[in-house]
Amino acid sequence: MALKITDECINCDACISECPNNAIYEPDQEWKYSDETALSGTVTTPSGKEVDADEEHEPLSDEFYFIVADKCTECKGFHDEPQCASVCPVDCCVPDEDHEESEEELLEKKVWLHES
Amino acid sequence: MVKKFPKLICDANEAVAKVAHKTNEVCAIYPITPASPMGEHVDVYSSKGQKNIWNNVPRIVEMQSEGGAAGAVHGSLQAGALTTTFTASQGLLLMIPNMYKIAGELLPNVIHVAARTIATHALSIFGDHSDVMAARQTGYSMLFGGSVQEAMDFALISQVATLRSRVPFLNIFDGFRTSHEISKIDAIPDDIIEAMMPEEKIMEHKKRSLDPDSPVIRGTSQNPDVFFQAREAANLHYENVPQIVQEVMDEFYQHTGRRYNLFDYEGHPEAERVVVIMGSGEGAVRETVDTLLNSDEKVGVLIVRLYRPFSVKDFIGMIPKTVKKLVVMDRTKEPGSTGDPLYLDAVTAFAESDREMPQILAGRYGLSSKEFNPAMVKGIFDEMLKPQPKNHFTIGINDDVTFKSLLYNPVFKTKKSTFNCLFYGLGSDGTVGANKNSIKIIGETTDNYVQGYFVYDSKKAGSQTVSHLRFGPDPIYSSYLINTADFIACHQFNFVEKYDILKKIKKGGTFLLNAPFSNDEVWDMLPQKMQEEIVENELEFYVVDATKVAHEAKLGKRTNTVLQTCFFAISGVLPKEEAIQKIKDAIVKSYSHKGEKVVQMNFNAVDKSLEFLQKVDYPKQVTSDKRLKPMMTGDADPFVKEVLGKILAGEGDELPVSAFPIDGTFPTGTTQYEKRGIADFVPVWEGEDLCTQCNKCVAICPHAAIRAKVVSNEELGDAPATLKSVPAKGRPFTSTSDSYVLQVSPEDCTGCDLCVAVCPAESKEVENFKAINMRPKLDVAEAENQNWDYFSSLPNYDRTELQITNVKGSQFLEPLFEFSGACSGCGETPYIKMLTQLYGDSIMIANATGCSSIYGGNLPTTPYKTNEFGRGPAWANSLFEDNAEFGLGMRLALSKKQEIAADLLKTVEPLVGTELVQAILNNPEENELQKKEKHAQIAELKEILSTLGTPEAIKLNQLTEYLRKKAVWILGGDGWAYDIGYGGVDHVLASGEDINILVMDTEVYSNTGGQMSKATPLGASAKFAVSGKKTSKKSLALQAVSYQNVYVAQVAIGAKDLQTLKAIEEAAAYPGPSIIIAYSHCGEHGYDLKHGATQQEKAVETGYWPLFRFDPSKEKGKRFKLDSKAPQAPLKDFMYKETRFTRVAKENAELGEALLKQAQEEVESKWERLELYRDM
Repeated sequence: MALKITDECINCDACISECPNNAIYEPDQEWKYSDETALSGTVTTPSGKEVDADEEHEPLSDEFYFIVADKCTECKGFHDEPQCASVCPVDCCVPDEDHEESEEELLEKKVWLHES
Repeated sequence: MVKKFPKLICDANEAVAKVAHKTNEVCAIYPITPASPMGEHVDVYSSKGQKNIWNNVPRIVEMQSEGGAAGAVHGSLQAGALTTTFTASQGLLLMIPNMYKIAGELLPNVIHVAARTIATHALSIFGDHSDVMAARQTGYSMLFGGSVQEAMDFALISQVATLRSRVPFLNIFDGFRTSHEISKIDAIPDDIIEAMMPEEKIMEHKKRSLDPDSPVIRGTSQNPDVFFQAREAANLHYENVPQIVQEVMDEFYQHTGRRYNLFDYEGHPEAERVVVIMGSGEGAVRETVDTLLNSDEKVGVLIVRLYRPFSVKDFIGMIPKTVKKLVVMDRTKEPGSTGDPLYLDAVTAFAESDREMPQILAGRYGLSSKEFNPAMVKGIFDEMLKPQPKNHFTIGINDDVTFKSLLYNPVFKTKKSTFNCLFYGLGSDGTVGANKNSIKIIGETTDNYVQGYFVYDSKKAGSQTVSHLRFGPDPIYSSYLINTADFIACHQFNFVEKYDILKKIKKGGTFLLNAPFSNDEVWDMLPQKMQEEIVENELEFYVVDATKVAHEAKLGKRTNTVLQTCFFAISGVLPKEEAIQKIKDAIVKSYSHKGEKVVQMNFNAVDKSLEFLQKVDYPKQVTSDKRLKPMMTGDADPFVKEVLGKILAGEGDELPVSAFPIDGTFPTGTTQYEKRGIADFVPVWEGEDLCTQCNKCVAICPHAAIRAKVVSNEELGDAPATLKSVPAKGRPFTSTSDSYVLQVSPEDCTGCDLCVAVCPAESKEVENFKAINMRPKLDVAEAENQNWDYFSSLPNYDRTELQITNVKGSQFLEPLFEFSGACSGCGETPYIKMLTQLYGDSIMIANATGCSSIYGGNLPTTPYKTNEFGRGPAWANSLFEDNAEFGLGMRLALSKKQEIAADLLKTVEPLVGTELVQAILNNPEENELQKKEKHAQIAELKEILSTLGTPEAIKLNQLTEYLRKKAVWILGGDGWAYDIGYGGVDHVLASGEDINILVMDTEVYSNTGGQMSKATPLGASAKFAVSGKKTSKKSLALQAVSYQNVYVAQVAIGAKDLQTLKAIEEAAAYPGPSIIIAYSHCGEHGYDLKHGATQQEKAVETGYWPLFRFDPSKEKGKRFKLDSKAPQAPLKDFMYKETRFTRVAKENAELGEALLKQAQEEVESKWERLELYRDM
């Protein structure tokens, strides 16, 4: 499962630099698949969507920090546990039920992000 | 004739309010120090249903300004009600236009004035006659009282005289010295008031009322043919006033036995030297004359009571024919005149009389409550002995520029018949309250007369208080501070290290010290100076550990009962046994309704106090070499050290005229040199591993006393061993080579606890343990002070690298507003601090009078400071009512100078080079990098310009700083923005100019002590609305939105700091007018402010304070952004955590419930309305 940030978030900025995938963004910040990943140009996401990795996307939240699910691997392949959740002082980085994935899928996502 | 009347123990504001409430039907009020308590008293009387002498409850209405109050008074008088108001200073000035009208229409009324200084080169809340003298031409009669008793007596005399004469009156008494002096006086019983109020004249006034049943017209316009004659038509009324006032005074004497005349003379019947004076200064002169008469000096004093109309006949008639020299004392300054006003009147009076003119000299004294005491009066009488005495002199200061001041011998004292006591305490420690209680006990239960006067410094947090108490068998006229004390108590041990507490002790006097030491230990803890004074004066020296006693007696931190008991036990004001009994009687009276247990607990505290009170058997010689701590630390420039440092040390009175700037200009950034150390507990960064480095503590700190820096590990190489640091997290730092340091300045922290309350990093293992926690300062101060000094020397992180669009990043920016005198836990200052972090080096601030002008600009030390390049906020305060316009004026000048600089730049383009000129003109300075480049470009330009000799180049070289982007921020509170300055705010918003307004909304007039404003919410109790406000708060934000071209934000930093940050950034970027309404928790709300941020969250969550931004520069449909959610919790969750709301329900449960219900409904409808804006 990818993680998501709930509206409990206090915008403390602790999580953003812990994320190995650059999946976390500040409120109101535009995001790209290619930000700090190996992706560029036209790519196919693990869910089978064809996208332009360099295209800027609208922020997912203008109030709180947010996680781009396609870029979140729950830290699989990097750490034993999700780093954002472990540093969050208010426990607002929680599993995202809308994006359930197996460990295998997450590891594949990691490879896709960084080694494709 | 001696009559016995019930006694009152109160100050003049209360005494006058009692009479005003009894004799009026309508009071239109507005808060202004030091007159506000009069309005507060009449509001309380009416809200309790107290009636005037006609068995009717007067209607009290608060207006939006004194101008408004005067208008309402005028209208009410025209419509036939007995109407009054209370004011001072700028407030009186705002009434002047209506005063001309009221007088011109012969409408009888009294305005009660606690006379106060008019702001000139600086504001002062203290007393002099510059305000009333600026109203002497309006046609109002002016009656001056010099004491609490006289202020009350004249309140009635002026009320009766105005009705009899139809000429309106000012009832004047000196601000603070009289308005705030507690005195034991004779009450005026209702039957006397009833007997004196002229019913027939009242009916005539009512009959003259505008009335459609018998219509007339007033306020016509007249032409040159008739205006003049018509203006002269009322002359007879003015000519009759002196006689009418004298008759009323005579009648008053018949009723009360208190004799007054238009002019009262006291002194030698064949006096050769006479001082003429009015107001509270009469006390000091009377006492001095009394003393000099004992040595047969031919001196006297003429006290002016009725100043307008000025009766030449009565004035001349009261002055002994033998007089050779007359000194006329004015408590005001009229630059450029041939003399100050009372002097001119005296000269004219003699010139117009058939008496030979004595030598008449003018003297000026007492501006802004400057001390005026018998030694100064003696100096004046001595000067008169000289063959060529100084004329137009000043007294009480050292004028070493124009040499107008008189030298006098400060040692002179009048015969003393009172027992004098001085108490040194802190603003919040209960010393003043306990002293007021002692005055009541002694005044009410013995035949003694009492006097209490309380001197505060004007810092809002941790201010020193000195209570001056006199007790004696006769009425007390000493209208000056105690200069010889029989008893001195120091309630704060740390004062002995800072101040010369015993300077005024008399030989053989008594000294009580509250100290955490026993009688054996305490001597060695005292500084040398204090030991000297104790030994030389052979003092009776007592020590008590009041904190310990209070703790043991289960009184918590309340040491006042303990210290009050010790005072009664040892001062000798009353015999000890009797005194202790009286305290116990007072306890029974105060606490019996709370049950026997509470009474016993307090009895126990009294007994324990006596048990712990120890006499110190000190050696007969000085053993200490400890010096008083310097009041100023750090490397300040000489002006700061020698002038501001002296003010800090409490020696400002000794500074000569030459020490001061001639136009009120002072250097900024001086709070850094004053280490106030008022916190008992300070935050300590102990859970550094827990810490998320979010910097929320830094953002919320009202005093910039907790700060974060990121530095390279090498830079920390020589750090003190106790300095903590952790690898820096987040962008743009490198955790392996950068360190994060969070540091508190213990001496600048006020111990409010807000930082700990907002810290999100709570341990999951250890209960109540966060990344920062409050710890006793004593345990950490030594190491942390050293750490702070080191921390301050560390560099700030490069602004161009920081992520300043988020709160964390912005809080690494250096605040250019620090260590202000704001209250502990202040909700306003975090906004100002954040503003200065972002834009401090390029803003001018126009600051409305109020809390923010006091903590922002109160001498001696001020909080706005400069960065390492010497740039920082340039700040000025004009008035309360004109601030928006003042700021707009700054903007116009700034734009003009920017325009001139840009034009000049274009003219020198051929000489300077197109590339640089275009780079400067086209640099938008939208981010820190561009700003940095701009500075470099200007530096390059300056270098080139200095080599060029053309007139344009030379001129431009003086103006290059105007090639930078600069902004004007207009700051103030809700009293200004919603009420008195609203017209200006509205106009400036409508101007379309690029200005920024920040309203720090505490929802009451905080600075004057919590009076209702139009920002006060429905259901809140405030002064002037003690039973709860029945109308809704105005939505200033939505009014501004209606202009469509104004950037508007409603923010709450404690609820959503990021939204505040964005609002400030967007407002600054918006090229037109912008306004931010910032929710500011305040001590006036009535709860421990450490919960300030939590309450702000609740305010947002319940929908009480919705967050939103309206940005006209965005595309349609995206302009209005709601930053908070629809109400999530009942309003009660927010409201009933604050005393301002619960007080209403406590007094009247039914009303409380009704107001709560109405408020809840309003929250919902307000939200519905907000949602409609979404599509804008």
